[in-house]
Amino acid sequence: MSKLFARALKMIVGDPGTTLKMPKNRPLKKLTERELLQMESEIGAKLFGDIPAGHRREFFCLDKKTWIWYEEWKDQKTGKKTSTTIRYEIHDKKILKVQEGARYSFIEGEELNNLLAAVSLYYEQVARHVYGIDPQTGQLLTPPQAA
Amino acid sequence: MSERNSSSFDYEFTGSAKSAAEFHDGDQINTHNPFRTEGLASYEKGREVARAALGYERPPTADELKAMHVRAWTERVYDGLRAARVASDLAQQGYTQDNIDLAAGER
Repeated sequence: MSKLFARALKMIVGDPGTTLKMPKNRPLKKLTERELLQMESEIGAKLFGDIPAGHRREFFCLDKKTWIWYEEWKDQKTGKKTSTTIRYEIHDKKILKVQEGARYSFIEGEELNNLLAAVSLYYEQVARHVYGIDPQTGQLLTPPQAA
Repeated sequence: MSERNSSSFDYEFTGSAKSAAEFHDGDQINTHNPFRTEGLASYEKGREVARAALGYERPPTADELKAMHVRAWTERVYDGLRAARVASDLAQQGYTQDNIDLAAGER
């Protein structure tokens, strides 16, 4: 009877030993990443000051070599939605700016200064406000809360 | 006939050899000959100097330094925070810190 009960319970709640095993391909991984990128981007968008009314902006680190700037607004005259996406590619000693219409340029001067400032601020604020990590020490600011 | 030719040849040979010796004794023009061993060595050295002057081997410019800093910050964001995100995700799912470390290592 106790064996039957144990088997039934195992069927309902699963085996505690297996649920704690780390699955290599977690089904929620992509969704979690997208949500976190969105949270990062909300912080990233505010790094450049106030967003003009009617504009939507995103700025985030896509991967180890890419930053994305996206801005969307409604054209005052035509009323049409307009958007622009800029991709910053990290090369060894240069940053390549890729814009729509196959426009490529290595950024320099003021734009490079601003990007450097934005990226370092992004790290500090995102570490603190999205991940709860002290950007200086890398330690958790608050203990993780179980869902 | 053959003797004459022979002597003539010897004479010419000796003569030209002497001239060459004299030429080498002077040895001023040949110091600039790039095909001599030391000439090649100095040529290579010159190429190194030229290479450095052309920017292939030089310290980074201010803009290049900034770009390198951008790269370093980006790696911190991606590597540092992505690893932290894995830990955060798993913690939200109720995993313990030991398992989080294990999972981070497996990824």
